[in-house]
Amino acid sequence: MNRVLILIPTLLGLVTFLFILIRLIPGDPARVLAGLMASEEDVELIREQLGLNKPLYVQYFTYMANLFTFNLGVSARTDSPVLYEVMARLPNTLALALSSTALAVALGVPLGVFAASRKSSRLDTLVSTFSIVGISLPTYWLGLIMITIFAVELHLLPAGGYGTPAHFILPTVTIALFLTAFIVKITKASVIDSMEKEYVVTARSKGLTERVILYKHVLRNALIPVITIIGLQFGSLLGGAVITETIYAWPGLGRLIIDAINNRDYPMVQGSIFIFALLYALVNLITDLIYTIVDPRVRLG
Amino acid sequence: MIPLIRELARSKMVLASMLILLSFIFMALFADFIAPYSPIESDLSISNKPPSWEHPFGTDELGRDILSRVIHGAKLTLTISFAATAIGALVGIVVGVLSGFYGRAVDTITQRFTDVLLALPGFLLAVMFVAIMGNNIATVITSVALSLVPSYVRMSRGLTLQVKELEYVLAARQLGVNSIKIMTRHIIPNISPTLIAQITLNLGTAILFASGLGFLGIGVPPPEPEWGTMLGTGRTYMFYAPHLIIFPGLAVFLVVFSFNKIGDRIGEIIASK
Amino acid sequence: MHQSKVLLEVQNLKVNYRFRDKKIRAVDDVSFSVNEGDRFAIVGESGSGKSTLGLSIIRLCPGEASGSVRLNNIDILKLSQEELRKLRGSDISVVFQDPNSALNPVLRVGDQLVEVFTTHGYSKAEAYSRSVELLETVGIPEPEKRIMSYPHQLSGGMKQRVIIAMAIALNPKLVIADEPTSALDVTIQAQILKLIKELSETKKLSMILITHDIGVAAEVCNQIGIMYAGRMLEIGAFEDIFHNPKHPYTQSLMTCVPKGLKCVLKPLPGSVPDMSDLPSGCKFHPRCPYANGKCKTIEPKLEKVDGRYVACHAVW
Repeated sequence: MNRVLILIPTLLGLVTFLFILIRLIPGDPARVLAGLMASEEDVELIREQLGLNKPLYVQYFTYMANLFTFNLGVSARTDSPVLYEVMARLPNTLALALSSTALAVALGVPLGVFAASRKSSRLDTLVSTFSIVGISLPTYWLGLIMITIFAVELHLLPAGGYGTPAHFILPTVTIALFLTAFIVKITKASVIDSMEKEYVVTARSKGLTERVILYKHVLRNALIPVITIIGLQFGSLLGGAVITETIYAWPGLGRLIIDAINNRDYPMVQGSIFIFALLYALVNLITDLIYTIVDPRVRLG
Repeated sequence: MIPLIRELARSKMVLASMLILLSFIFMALFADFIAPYSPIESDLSISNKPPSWEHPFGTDELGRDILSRVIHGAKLTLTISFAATAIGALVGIVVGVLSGFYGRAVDTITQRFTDVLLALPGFLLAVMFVAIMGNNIATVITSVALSLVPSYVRMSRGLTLQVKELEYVLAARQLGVNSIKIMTRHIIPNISPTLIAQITLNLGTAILFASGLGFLGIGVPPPEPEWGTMLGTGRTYMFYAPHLIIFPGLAVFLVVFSFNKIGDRIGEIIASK
Repeated sequence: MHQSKVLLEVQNLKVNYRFRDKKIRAVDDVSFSVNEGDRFAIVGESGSGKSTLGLSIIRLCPGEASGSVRLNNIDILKLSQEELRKLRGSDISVVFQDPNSALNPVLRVGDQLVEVFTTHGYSKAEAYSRSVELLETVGIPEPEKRIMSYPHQLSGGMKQRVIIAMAIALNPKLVIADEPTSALDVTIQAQILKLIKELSETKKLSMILITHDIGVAAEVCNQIGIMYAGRMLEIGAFEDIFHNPKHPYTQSLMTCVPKGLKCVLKPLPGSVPDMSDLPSGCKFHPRCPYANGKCKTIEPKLEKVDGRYVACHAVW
């Protein structure tokens, strides 16, 4: 519960930080929007509209007040409400993040358990190398190569865009590879560690079958750290969404942020990063909660 | 140092990684002598040509030899990697150790700041910094460095807190030993091993961040042969000139892989002590 | 003295394992037997191989075991995995040393108790009601509440009671208790020992108690085997050996110097040998005050002397 409470000042700090940061971005947004040909009056008009001519502290208070009501303003570029634009894209980013995580877990955990149960040093090296390869591959490179192979050469899958399940495949696999490598490594280490614990010997002495020992005793313990890692990585995943969404022309939040930055669209940048931070914080919170559910030692009392 | 290197060289993969890194360092240092062509002179008549004997990696959209650009890019990439990691680690560790050691107000303030920075995933943080400062080599290095700072602060603070309670440190404090001396003589040596492993891994992360920024067009700008930027611009033509996206990405992968492999092994060695 | 039936017969048991390219003979040609109703103590210092011995009886130890371990004439070492699994928990069970690590931290205590029953064919309902009774039998108050607890919510002593409950659940023929009180506070130790003794009497359980503490053995046991560097040096009735130890090592264990209210063991010179680098001949000879030439070259065998078995050249 107090995790939630700490969240509030953190977010407040973040938005203030954002406010200052964004004002530091070079370039006069009013002019950018008005265009190079515009007259001073036009630029001034736009400045009025965006409230950029008001003193800084007024802007700040308006900004904070609006945030509380989730009024994120209107895009300086398209006049469309920021919140609307963000919400239109947020589900896409989430969908991608969730599907890659699901894939990575579905592949990674069984592989990790398998690797842990075979004590062969060749397999160990293979798993370890695969893990390191997975985390060293730049997402953008992998994505581009996959597009070249599957979309361009083989014409099997669409090269980008959004709409059909087929559009999900390449982006999901691209992201999932990295995460799978991580999960395999952590799962393997965790399972091996759990299998050497005393309570496994106890379980065996009671005459339990190896199967029960594995699923009920070992995995229940071994998967706890894995869950934490997945939670942490999910956050990173969202960060890397920017790149993946760019490569695959995926209409998501990451792309929105980059475009907004490039367009000097203040309200959009502020609003989208705010929502992003909120999301990220939510993910961390959920991971913590899941952790308390799964590990009884952490629960109060 | 030497025994460490010998221990590292035991594993074939680690040895291969070290050799790969050495070759890239070599490339970076002697780029002017090794590269067959200039990395920035363009010749539009031979733009986007696939690999051939004259141009083993092909040419890019402005007719520049990709091999030469990759070689020169090594200097850029390694510079950014070392500089950003060094700055980020230094700042982060100093802040973290001070924060953990002195505690109270200093600690609380630092923690709040770190929380704010950690409210966004690392890469996005780098994106933000570059957006404010504009994009050139210096700002890319600074942005990547800044995005690495929060995790170093967290890590070194946590480690400092642990070490702070060790008996001989408590003893030293009781005896009234100068705080700075305690930090340098006792705390730093204790937390170094874990931090070193982390730093080696971050060398790779720094490259991924920097080249990621380049790919998105907000990193080191052309005509500099930054590998990520090369991929970003090459992307436009990739459908009919796929060679454009292979080699710079391969270079990034090899360097990051080597850093990670070595860092991983260092981590293992330290853990077994 | 009525004739007791032999329950467990261990013959020429050897357990070897590899540790960093070295072959360790943790249990080196050990033979002894346990009768029904016996409470047999295996006493030795750390590193003597006593835990390995105890656990290898039901093949819970890593390493290769050879020889024979017969329970009611069935050689455990020759059983299939499935037969072995059925035997564990129901015919032979184990009480472990450290209650903090022997229980699975993420499963409820009741769960871990119930599974002893269910894995051997009982229904969940029956398993549950029996488990509640068991918790009461081992002296845990409010058993219906405690059965839902997680291990970290219980004290060390209570956790150990749970472990004992798990061990006696199916009324096994033999309970192997591996240092059951070593990890507990002194006051709790006494309680647990008392519990163990009562239970074995009321439930008519035979027991092997592994310990490094003669005092503990004295509390509970009627038979004793002294173990050193993987070998049994002296085996027999506790009373006999306690009052009249024949082996020099046993003598030093039984002799203690009164220090205030306690009796402190007089320490022997030297230390327990490294299991990967054992001395030749009698493994005890480097520390033995009576060692002669023969002791250095020929390993003594267990011979019946004065109603017990001793392995020593110097005993005549």
